[in-house]
Amino acid sequence: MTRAMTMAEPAPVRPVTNLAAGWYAATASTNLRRTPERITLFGETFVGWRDRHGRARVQSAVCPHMGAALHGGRVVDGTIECPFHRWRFDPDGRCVVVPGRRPSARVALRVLPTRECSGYVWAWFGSGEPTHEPPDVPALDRRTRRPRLRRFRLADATRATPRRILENTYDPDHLIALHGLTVAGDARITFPDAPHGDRDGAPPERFDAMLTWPAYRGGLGTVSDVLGLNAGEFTLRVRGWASCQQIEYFADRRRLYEMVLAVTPVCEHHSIQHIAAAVDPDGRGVMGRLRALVHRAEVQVAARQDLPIFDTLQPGDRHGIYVPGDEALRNFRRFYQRWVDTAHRD
Amino acid sequence: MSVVPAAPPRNRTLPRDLARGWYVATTSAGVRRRPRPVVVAGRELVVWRAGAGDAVVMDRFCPHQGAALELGTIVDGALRCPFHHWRFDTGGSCVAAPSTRRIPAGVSAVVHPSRELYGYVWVWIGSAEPEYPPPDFPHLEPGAPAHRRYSFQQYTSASARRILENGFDVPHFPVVHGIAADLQLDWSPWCDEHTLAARLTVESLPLPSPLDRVMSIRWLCLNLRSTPSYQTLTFELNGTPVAHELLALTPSEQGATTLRGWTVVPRSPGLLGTAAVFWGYRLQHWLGTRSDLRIYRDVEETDGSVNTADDAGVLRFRQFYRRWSGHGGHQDTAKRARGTV
Repeated sequence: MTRAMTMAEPAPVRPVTNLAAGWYAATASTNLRRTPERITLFGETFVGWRDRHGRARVQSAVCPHMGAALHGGRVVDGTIECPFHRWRFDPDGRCVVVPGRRPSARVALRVLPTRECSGYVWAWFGSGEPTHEPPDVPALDRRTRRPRLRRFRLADATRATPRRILENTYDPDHLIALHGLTVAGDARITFPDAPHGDRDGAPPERFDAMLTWPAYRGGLGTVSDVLGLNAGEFTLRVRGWASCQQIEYFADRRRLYEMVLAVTPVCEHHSIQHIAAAVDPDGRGVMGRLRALVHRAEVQVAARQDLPIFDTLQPGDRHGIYVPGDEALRNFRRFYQRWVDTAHRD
Repeated sequence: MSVVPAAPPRNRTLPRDLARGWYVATTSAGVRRRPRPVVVAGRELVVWRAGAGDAVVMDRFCPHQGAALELGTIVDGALRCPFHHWRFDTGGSCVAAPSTRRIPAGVSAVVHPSRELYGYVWVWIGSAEPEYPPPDFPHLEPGAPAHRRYSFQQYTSASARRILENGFDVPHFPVVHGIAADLQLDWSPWCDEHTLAARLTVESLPLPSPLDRVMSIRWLCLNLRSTPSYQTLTFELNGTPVAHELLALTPSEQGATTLRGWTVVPRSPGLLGTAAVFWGYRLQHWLGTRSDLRIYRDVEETDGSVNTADDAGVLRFRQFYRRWSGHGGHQDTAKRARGTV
C-alpha cells in the first residue's frame, strides 16, 4: 500500500457560519511555546507563535509565496520562517527576508488581533479592529502564583455552535432540569443593566445578567450543610460579551469562585468549550481544601453534563419555542445576532 | 485537553421517490427502557415505549430547544426531554413544562403513525395518515400452525424499489440465481390499489446429481404479493407451500436500505421432515440474497431506458410503484389508480 492510501481521510473543515464578532480563545497560554503551533480557527488554519518579547501572535498559516504551511517552519530572530523557501515574516506579518532577493513590501500575512490574558491567547474575529478587550482575570493568568488545587482549566470538544455554548448561561431552567439542582425555589435571572445600544446603532458591548437561586435542598442540601457550603441564596454574576463570558459565583454575597467561559470555533459543527476557574480561599487547612475540591467538582460535573446534549442537538441552531423562562435566552440571541452583523460590516 | 474533533452531524438525504408506506423503524426488542434514535426515510426519529404499551415513533428533537430526545427518560408514561424536562405523551402532546406556569398552548412533538407487529415497530412514512394497512402475515400470529422460522436482516445501498421489484424481474432468475428453466409470470386477479400480486412458476426444474435421487421438482411456484413498501411471498413445491416470507424495509436515506423480515417454514410430516426443508430453504435463501446483494451494491438508480418484452414484470411494478411515490396525496392517488387499474 502506498503512503497516500494509508492516510486518514481529512475531516471536512468548513468555515464557521453565524459567528459574532469578538474575542475567541485561540489556544491556552501554556500550549503556545517558542515553536510555531498549528491553530484551526473559524474553519481556517493559522499559526501561533511567540515573538522576541514572548508576545503571542496568530497569523495565517499559508505562506503567500508557494502556499506551504508555516506551522511546519521555525521561529528565527523574532520572525517566523517558512519551511519551503525560507521566507521570513515579522510579528506584524510583513515579509522581511527572501533568500537572495529583496522582499517585496506588498507581501504580507494576514494577522489576527491577539491578546493574552486569563490564561488564554485570544484572537479577534470580525472585519474591523477590536472594539473592546477580552476578560482579564489576573487570578487565571499563568504568571500568577496560585495553588494548583484552586485553579483549573477545562477544554471540551463539542458539536455545538459558539452561540449555543454561550447562551446556556442565560437559561436558568436547565439548571434544575439538566443539572439536577434541588433548590428550595425557582432560579431567577435579572439584568443589572438592561441592554441598550449606542446612539450610532452599534450593539452594546455586553449583555450582563445575574442568576439567583435559593438554598440547596434534599441530599445535596444535607451534604452542603455539613461542609458549610449551603447558603440562603446563590448568585452567578455574568459579564457577557457576544463571544466570551466572565462569571463570578457567590453564596450569600461571599464570592466562591471566578471563571472565564471561552470558545474556540474550530470549524462548522466543531467548537471547544473552555472554562478556566479560580477558586477563592474559603477557610483554612483541610476544610478549605475540601471546599475548593467541591467547587471544582461542581464546575466540572456541570460542564460535562451539558456536552451530551450539545453534541446531539438538532443541527442548524434553530429557534425553538419560547416560554417566559426563555426570555433571557431570547434576548441573548438577539444581542448575539447584532454582533454577527457587526462581524461582516466593513 | 480532550480536543478530539466531534463528528459533524450527517446531512441526511431523503431517499428519492420513496413510496408512501409502512417501513420498519426498529425491532421491538430494540426499544426497551431507553428511547432509541432511528433514521427512516431521511427523517430523524426517536422510538420509545411507555411501560408495556406499544412503541411510539416521534420526531427526534424536542420542539422547545432542539435537544435530542433519546437522552431523555420515560416518566409517568411520557417521554421527558433531558434539557428542560418538558414531557410528551404517547400522542405527542406536551403534558409538563416545569418552571412554566402553564403548559404552552399548541406545543406538541410530531408523532408518526406506527404499529407493532411481528417483532418490528412499523412506521407510516409519506403522509399524515396511513393510506393502506400494515402487513398481515398470519403465519406469525398466535395460533398459527406449527412451523420453524428465522428472521433475516441485510444492509444494501440499493433503493427500496429495487428490492421490491426484484421478484417481478423474470430474466434475472436464470442469470443471477442460475435457475435454468422456463419461468412464467402471471398476474393475479387479487391486485388492488396498494397490492400487486403475481405468480412465478417453473415446471420441471432439473436438480444437480446427488439431489435428484431424493427429490424432484415437478412444479415450483413463487406467489408474490407486494405493496409499495413491504411484500409477502409464498414458495410452493409440487403444490405444497414450503415457505412463507415477510419482506420489510428500512430505507434510512438515499443509498442506504436495510431489508429485514421473517421466513416461516410450516412443519410437515413426511420422509424429509421439516428440518431438511428448513435448512435447504434457508441455504438457498442465503445464497440467493448474497447474489442479489452483489448486484445491488453497484447498481445505478436508473429507470432502464432499454427494455425487452421480458421486462414486463418489472415495468408493471414500477408503474404501480410510481403511483405511491412522489407528492400525490391520498385522494390524488386514488383517482389516478382508478383511472389506470
